[in-house]
Amino acid sequence: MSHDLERIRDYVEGRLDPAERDAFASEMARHPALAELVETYDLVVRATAGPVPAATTTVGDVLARAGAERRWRRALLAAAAALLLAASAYLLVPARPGPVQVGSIPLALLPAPEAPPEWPRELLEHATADDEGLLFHTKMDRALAVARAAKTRVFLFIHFPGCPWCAEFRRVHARDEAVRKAADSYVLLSLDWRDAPEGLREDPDEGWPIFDLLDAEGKRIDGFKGMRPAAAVAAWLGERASPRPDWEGLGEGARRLDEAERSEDPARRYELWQQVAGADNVLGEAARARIAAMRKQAQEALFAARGDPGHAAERLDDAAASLRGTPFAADLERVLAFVREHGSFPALSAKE
Amino acid sequence: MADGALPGDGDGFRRLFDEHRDAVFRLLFRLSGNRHDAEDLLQDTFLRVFRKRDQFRADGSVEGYLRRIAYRTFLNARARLSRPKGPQLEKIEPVDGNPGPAEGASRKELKSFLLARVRRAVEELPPAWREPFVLFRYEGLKLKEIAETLGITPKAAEIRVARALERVSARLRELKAQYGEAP
Repeated sequence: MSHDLERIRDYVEGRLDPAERDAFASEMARHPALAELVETYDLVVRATAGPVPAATTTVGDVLARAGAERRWRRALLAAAAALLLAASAYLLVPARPGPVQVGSIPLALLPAPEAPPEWPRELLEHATADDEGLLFHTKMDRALAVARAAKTRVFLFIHFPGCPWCAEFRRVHARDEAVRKAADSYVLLSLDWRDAPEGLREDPDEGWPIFDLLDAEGKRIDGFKGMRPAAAVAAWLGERASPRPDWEGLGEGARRLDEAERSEDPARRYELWQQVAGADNVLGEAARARIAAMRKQAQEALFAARGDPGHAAERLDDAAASLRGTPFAADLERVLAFVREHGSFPALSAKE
Repeated sequence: MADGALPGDGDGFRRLFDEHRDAVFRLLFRLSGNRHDAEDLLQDTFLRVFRKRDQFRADGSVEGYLRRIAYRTFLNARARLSRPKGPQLEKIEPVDGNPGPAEGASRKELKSFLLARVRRAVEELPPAWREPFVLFRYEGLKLKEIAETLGITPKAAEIRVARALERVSARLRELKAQYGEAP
């Protein structure tokens, strides 16, 4: 076949010598199919004979493209190298320190702390009786404050000068063991009839002394007039008593609050407040309020330092010193260490 | 240009380009069917030659090497090129819409009609047949050289050229049956 195709082409294009040409003609005469292909190719040659236009592309065009391609490739390589360098730098440079954790200082703005509630300092030395007998408060507002702190009632003893039964009560009943025991669940208040509040200043004609039970807000709950035997008084008190307050615990809490107020060591103050903060009474409220004020102080210092990068270290240092030994100071000192090391304020994280 | 390594310097490449530009362009013109595409392909071909000038090994002729590069360049671009049409068709009246020679047409008119139909038949060959046929017809290559250029076996090249010629021949028979003997 290959021989035939190339010979067909050579025959049609006149490249065979005369002898070959004659031989091929004879072959065609014997093979009509070959003759048909020759005829076809001859027609193809005639049909497709035509000039080809001249090329206009110059070597300059090619070299210009090659140059542009080289420049593009160089730019690409430079970009890749820069990218690689940047990636390497990113990987080699020590990782940016993570956020500084300030676990004890909330990052959400705290409200302004409320004024700590007053707690009755009478609790420091509280007792309902001593060797001489019952111990009465003599100021109603103070007795009520103690009653509120102790969540108990007030046993009010209203007397009058010259009242023998009143003296008898002090001399006998107040030293009676049963009365003393029953009275220990109350806050004891002794008022001269003339000093008693209007609502409690009852007509004494029915008998002296006058005894009232008041709730912690000063509202009269019960009472009786006239002298009764000590046992009856004890029974009467016992029937109406609230659970005995933890006078010892209250006293200890009061002493801790007192010590905290007198201490100049923030760590000690914080420690004492923490010890009292769990109490479900005014002492606990007072301790919690003071801790909240300390936390707010730390947060204000932290935020002030963040807002004043030029003096952040000084601000943090001052605040940490004023809170030294507390968890707040520890947080501030961590931030301060970061500022000193990196010269910038860190991101903050509230939780570990 | 003698066989051997391609010139690596600018002047050598200029000489190579000057010596072979027209032949490569002619091939690309025949393959692509139009001048614009052929010019683009010519640039692409010599750009590839320039890039690979250090890789050329003297295991064949420079002409054969350039043909292979040119054909591969064409092959890569074929999908995006306009449908190849014969360069010759640019110089003749279109045959589309011409159902055939008019009744009583002269012999010269009939001949012209049949030649146009033959050209058309060549152009309508499938690429796999048309491309080796172009190399056979225009480049005058031997079947072995066609095979080397196209990256196929000589037998495959032979079969494809033969089938192309037979397809045109069959078309010619149809024309003869329809319009009479060949001119």
